[in-house]
Amino acid sequence: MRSVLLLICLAIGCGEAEPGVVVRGARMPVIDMHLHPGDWDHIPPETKEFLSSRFPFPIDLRPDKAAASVLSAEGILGEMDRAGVTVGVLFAIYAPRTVGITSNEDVIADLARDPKRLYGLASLRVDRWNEDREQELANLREALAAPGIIGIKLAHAHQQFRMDTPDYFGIYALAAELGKPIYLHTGTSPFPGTQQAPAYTDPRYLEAAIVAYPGATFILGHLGYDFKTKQPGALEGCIDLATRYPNVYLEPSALGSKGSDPSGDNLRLAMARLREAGLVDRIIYGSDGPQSPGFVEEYLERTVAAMEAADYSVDEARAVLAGNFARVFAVPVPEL
Amino acid sequence: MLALVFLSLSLGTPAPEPTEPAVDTRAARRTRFAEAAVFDIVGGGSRPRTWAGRVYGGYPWLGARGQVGVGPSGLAVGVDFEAARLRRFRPALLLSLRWVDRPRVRLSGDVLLGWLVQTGELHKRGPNVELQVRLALPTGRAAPYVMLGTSHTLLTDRTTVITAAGDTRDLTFRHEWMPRATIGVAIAITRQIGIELGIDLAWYDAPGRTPSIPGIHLGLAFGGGPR
Repeated sequence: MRSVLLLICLAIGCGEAEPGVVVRGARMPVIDMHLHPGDWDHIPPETKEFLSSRFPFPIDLRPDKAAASVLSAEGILGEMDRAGVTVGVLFAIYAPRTVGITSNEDVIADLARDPKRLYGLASLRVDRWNEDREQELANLREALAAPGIIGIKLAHAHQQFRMDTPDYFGIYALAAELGKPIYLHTGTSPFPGTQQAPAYTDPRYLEAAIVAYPGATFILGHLGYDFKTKQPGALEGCIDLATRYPNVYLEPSALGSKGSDPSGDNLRLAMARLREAGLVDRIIYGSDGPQSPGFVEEYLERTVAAMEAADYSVDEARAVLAGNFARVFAVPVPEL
Repeated sequence: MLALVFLSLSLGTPAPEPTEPAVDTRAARRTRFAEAAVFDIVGGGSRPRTWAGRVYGGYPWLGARGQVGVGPSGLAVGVDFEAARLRRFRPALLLSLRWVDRPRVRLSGDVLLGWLVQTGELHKRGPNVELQVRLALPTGRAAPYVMLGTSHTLLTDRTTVITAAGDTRDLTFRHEWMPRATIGVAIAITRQIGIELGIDLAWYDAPGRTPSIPGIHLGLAFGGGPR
């Protein structure tokens, strides 16, 4: 009976993947710096509809149940286990008109589920900036002092504020003061309500802030990918900024997913271009999961395939998948 | 096809002539339940003055069907109701006609005229028409069957744009297509009661969406009238 159960278990893939991932025959730890916990009830109706339409029938009929299974801390840890990801970073987000709200408090509570494997990035509201910026910055400062909160998450396109408006530079000043890197969504977005204009999506509009705050670390998420047209978008702009400024890092999440890059060509191109430009030590791996069951695992596989296609060495892959993150965020490289 | 294979095997291998009573017994055994209610449900149509019904449940579909024979060629009318995960409902009127009506082969066509209501995040509603072709091959108490269907729903989008210059209202229509298939087996417990088990394949909102996750259902069929 036990043998039968074991066979069934093997057949359906019970259990967890071995920690880490194999690149060119070498197993190495993985840090996924881009994971979204969440609460279905805190997502705007239009975005719920958009997200629902991405689930296959009949899961789309009860997307709340599907979301709950992957967006909770336990669900995310399960997806990390399935992918072999050792450490994950959970994002707070305040974009009430587009992708919704995941509060700093919720992320801090999620980190407590497994403090050795989860870190968090805090965020802040900017939609009443003229009235409450001081309070919002104070809230952010307080969140950044919480255990496990190691940086800041911003998404100009989703939060609907321009990248080049000095009114918001106080956020970068705080990041520089506290030594907390800032992750920024760059590129367009398929979510309803997103500001798609270049001033909200093109990382070149961040240059003034990058120059003004050399002590702040800017991580350009998605490499400026154009998710509307499924084209590389502002990839060259990201490369240009990272080449000229040492405080700019690059994160290739989401752009290489099955939905955004069906052939995988765009992710392969991006990883190849970053290596050609000598920017391997600036790449920090992230997936933008969990999205749906299996996404975290699949994105890691696609990224590894893209790195192998672009001839990344074992040491280069090790840096992309964990080493660069550990250096930038001043945390230890996880052990396998 | 099975009949052809059987025929060719029979022609190629001369068999001893069976005695008349044995043939009669075997044939009678094979067709004893040919008029079972469960075969009317999976094979379509009903003879005049007979009726059949079914309730079924599974993932994601559950539902019920009732039909009564009203004319020649197994012509039947009835009602059909299906629901998916208690979020998508489609009540319909049913018209069924047998094209091939032999004890061991049932081939029929169904037309369902209904109304679709879907609640939740992807709420939608509109008139629905579904065409189904059913094939059942009763042998004794069992009948493997297959159903092929094409479901079409006309969806209406009403958009109201409110501006300082006044409101504008726009009405647009969309077509939702769902090809579907069910393959399964029906078992007649008696002529009046039976069960059936099927695998449900569908492609909701084809071809734009990814093919749907397969489903499974178990049904209880029952019926009455002269059988």
